[in-house]
Amino acid sequence: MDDTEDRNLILRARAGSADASGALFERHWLGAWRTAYALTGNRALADDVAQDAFERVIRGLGQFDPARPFGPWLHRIVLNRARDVLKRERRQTPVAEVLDGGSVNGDAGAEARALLAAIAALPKEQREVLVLHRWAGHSLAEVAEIVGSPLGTVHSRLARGMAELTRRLQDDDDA
Amino acid sequence: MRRDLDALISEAREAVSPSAEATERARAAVRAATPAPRRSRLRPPRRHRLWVLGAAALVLGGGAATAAVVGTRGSGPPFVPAIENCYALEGSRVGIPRLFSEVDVDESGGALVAWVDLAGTIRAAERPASGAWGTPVEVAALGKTAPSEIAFSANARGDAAVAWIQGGRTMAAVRPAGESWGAPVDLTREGQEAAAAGRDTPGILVTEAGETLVTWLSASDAAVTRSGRGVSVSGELGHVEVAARPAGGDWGVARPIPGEATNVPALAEGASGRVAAVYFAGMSGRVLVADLDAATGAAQSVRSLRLPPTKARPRAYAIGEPVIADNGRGVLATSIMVNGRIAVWLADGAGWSAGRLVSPAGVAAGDPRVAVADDGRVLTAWTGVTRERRADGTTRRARTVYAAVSGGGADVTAARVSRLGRLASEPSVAFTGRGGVVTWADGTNGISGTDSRVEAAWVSAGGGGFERAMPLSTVGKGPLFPDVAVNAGGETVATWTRCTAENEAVMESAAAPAPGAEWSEPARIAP
Repeated sequence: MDDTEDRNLILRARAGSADASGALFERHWLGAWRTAYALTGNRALADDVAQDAFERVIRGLGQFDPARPFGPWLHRIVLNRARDVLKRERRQTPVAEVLDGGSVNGDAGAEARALLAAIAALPKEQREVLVLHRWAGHSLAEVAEIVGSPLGTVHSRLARGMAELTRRLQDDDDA
Repeated sequence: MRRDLDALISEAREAVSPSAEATERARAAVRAATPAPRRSRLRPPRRHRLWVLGAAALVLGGGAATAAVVGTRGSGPPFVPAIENCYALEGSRVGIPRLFSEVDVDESGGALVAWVDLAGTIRAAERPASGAWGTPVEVAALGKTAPSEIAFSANARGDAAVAWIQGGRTMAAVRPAGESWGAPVDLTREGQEAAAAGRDTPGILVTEAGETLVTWLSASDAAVTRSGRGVSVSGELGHVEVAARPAGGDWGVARPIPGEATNVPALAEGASGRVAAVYFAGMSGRVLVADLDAATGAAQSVRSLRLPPTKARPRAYAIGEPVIADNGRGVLATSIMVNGRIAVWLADGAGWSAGRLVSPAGVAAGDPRVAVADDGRVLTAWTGVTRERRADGTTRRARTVYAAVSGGGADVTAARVSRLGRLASEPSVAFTGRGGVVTWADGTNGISGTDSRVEAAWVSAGGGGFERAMPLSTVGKGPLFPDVAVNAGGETVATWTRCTAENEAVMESAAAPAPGAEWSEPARIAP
């Protein structure tokens, strides 16, 4: 994603351009939604989380330094909203609903659903780090900033999450 | 597993997408949320404000994970960005801070400090005994690829070395006493990639005989997955690599320490030409100490430290990054956060002692620092997070620096050394037979506030307690990352960075001729 283009759009959106806000939305909506989906494991929750995060981001553009990358900032807000929503829902990630994900189709869908179910079953801290790094593509340094933990902690959680994910998928194969 | 996990994740990601209805609903909401045109009240961004990002990471860091290593930089209350602070970066918290300094004092009382400046240049400055700081010299100009921190070590006669991780490579530069800094050398073996896990820097040690050892975490290229600007280790946890340079010689080829590791080892000099490397072994939940040959870096043995029992999490441990120190006479002390308590181990040639908890129960402790005196007593400092009650009955989380002296026949005397009602962070310790000192950064808003300063407390001459905290710096804008060092003669130097009233990042220092003596006025090191 071109940070320069984001920067220009942010400056214009801060000046009140709805077109610039719309362009930012088009560039980042899909990534934000997919991250919200992987974090919550639920399409309806992902809709709410991603939309609410985007509204907050647009309203808060005046507080954002356009010299910095936009994506990590957006995904931090997505993460916080996902945490809030899951806490509010008073439940763990609904694995069963992940398995019913309506947009996962075809042959790829079966494996994708198995993967998403395995991700959803990870402990929260491991799931967040794994989703932000391997799913959303943030660097580990960015993930450390997004989740508010030291790099070593992030590294450790990722290693554990990947090991656990591998084990769960192997269990699926063995079953 | 059926196939490459990264490919499967990528495929799954592409296979999910929001509905058209949800997308249109969000699109309309975003357009409606666009603010009306107005004049921005924010100043243009300054590069200096990158500082706050690292400060945020440091202060926010430390979430305990079961049987996982957590960072050295402390847990505590949330960081609150202060727009008026010159390091503050509005909004985004993503970025890398620089200007952490590390200082050492040689046997003559001269001081040497090294740091990475905001332009990405590693610099070093010297101060002769009782003199003024000289003009900083350039060790390596790295520019935008520079790391946020470097590792630095020096011995009593003034041999010094720095090491850092840059682009997956471990680099080092050395300066023999009285000479100039040599060119940086890449220590990384072909086919290996350095992973900056944990403390973000390699471990480094210059022994009293002049050998230099550098340790880092590494994995083979085949196991490393790049993503964005970061690097992660996939498929294995990594292992420790050690490179050694004999006094006056060339660097040897790096060699691995067998077994897995999840953080960069900390180094200290033991007895009989041996160096101890302490690190966390990841999923096994063990803290390991490797005994290294000082001349070659070869691991002679690896042993596990027995963790002390704690009431919290009896079946699993949350473990912080180990720190280690020596007294120059073969006595070692290491300290680790274990389930929110600070544990200390001592090694005096007869082997490692049992772990001893020095922090009190009921305080979430972390971010330990340790130093060993000539007589084998150990000074440990750490930050403790508690909930304080305000006058109106509400509570707030507070972070306080505590310290204790143990070993050498001394009782454990854990004491609060920083003031109540403040946010203290970044403790640093130094200790000799003549006394010791604890320094930290203090403020009402942690290291990001506008009323921050560096404070210090001497260990009393008898070693049984701590004297009242004294300010080293003026009150002003943070953040402040103090470091302190003392030589065998008791000459003490502290360095820190801060923000001036003109919003410029500067490096300063203060010195004292002996433990308990009056500190000098702050002196400017750079720019």
